Amino acid sequence: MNVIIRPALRAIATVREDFPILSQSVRGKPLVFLDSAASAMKPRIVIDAMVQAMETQYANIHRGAHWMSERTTEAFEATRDSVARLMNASSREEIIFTRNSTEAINLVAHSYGRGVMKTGQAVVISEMEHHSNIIPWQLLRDDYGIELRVVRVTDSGELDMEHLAALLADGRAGLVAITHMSNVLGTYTPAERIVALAHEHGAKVLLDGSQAVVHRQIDVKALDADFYVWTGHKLYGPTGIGVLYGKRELLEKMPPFMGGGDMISSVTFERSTWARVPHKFEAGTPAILEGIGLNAAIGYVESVGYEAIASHEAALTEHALAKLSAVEGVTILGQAQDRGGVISFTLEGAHAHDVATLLDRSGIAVRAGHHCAEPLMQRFGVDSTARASFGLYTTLAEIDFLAETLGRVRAFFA
Amino acid sequence: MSASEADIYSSTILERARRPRHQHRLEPFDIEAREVNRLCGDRVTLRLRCDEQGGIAAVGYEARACAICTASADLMAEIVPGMTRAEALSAGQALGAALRSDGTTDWSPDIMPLRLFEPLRDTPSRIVCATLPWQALAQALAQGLTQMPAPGADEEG
Ligand SMILES: Cc1ncc(COP(=O)(O)O)c(C=O)c1O
Repeated sequence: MNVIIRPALRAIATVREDFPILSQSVRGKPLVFLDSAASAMKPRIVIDAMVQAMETQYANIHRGAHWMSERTTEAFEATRDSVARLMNASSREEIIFTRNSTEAINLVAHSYGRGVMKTGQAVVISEMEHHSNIIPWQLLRDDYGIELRVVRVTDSGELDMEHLAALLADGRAGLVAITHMSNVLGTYTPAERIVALAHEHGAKVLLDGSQAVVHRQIDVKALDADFYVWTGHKLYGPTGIGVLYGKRELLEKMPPFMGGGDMISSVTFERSTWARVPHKFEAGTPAILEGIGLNAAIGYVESVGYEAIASHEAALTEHALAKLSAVEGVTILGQAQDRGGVISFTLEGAHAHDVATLLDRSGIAVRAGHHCAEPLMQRFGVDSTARASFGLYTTLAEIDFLAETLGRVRAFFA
Repeated sequence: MSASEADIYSSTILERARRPRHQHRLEPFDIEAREVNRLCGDRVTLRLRCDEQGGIAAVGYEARACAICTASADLMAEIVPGMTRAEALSAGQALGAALRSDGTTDWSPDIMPLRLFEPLRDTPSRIVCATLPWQALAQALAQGLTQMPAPGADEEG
């Protein structure tokens, strides 16, 4: 039996000490890392877990009847328990490991889209999706005769719920695939209402939680989500490991995604049979070390606690919105009621890339560009934006420094 | 910003980005090409007019792009007219090579006016901003091969 011991809650004020990289300097200046929405930094506990596995107990999993393989299998599979607990899934079999969110969405587009949906049905996405929640559905549309419908985003950067209702009205939508938090606007979408509305019209729902899971406790049972995806590297874990949650009865109906080792029950040249879920969807050697690292990341996040994380994020966001909008020439994209620590902005007279380069010269890391959301950029009539995004280690002082430096960037380009 | 913080933005680059001298839709033109920076969505649309010998007579461009890219397009539009196709292509290649080198590559006389982009060697993610207009030029010349008057024999190979 697995006994889970949760470390005592860690004070948010001391978390910076847990991230070795935060003491690095960049171009001779202290690093001010405001690009966590792209990928978050890793706490010592994650780094150590991966190194320790390589140094003390490592072998391929699910195959060797030897001590090393058994220990490694246990460590990897313990992550599945942690993920199920984190998301409040009904069972560990509902958790499938992928490389990242992108692969998880492609898995659903392939196995649910081509395997369960019928030609002529529709998939509903929104204008604020990341490319990874657009392209797999476009491919499905083009290969398989699925209609693609797009929910509008309002001027304030929120999902137009009336439009969603209109797009669902004819009952032809088989799946609604929508982000739980925009990686550009920081908007949280009303996931419970989306799910309820979709279910009323007979559609299943996939939520892209790549950003949301970093800031809020996800409860897939309370949400009644059919699929929920996220990616380990944004939750302070390693790259190369992502999560697909799927309701068991749906996963059972879906054909495999990729074929290979580990996903079979038996193989002959005439006919093969598939392993049970979740293994049916996990072909080949998985990201073993990354899975072990992800477990450490989940443990870390739980030790800080989502309550502390959410209130810290709310304080940072409120502070940043006030500070940034006070900088002359700054325009913030969207002003959703329910928004979190991801803020996109433009600076009058300066291109986002030039802004990012000059911020970088002061040690500040922000992202600039279209943020893999070109349709949303078009929706707001901009080519690119700069984006500051926060992690649990971000401080108010860093935000002050960003605002102050932006003022200097503005003066430079004026 | 201090001079060292803003090293990649020389006064010429800032000036060209603020008040480009050659940004316009060239009319009439022989070839048009468009290049997009995949990373940020910046784009340059380039138009060329050719002379009877197959050389480049005039260049006009429209950029929706950052300061580096706009300045690079503007300088390109200034130095390329009068060049043969081969010279223009090799100037673009020389710029790319010089920016990606360890600092030992020579700046050939053709591209001396572009040397102000040299500090970009320290910021690899921005090199493509400077080379994007030149990629558009290379693309224009490649598709123009069939449309343009045959080049002089000395240009062959
Ligand atoms: C909202 C959203 N969806 C999907 C992704 C894709 O994540 P990954 O690249 O890890 O698959 C990202 C991150 O880039 C994101 O922010």
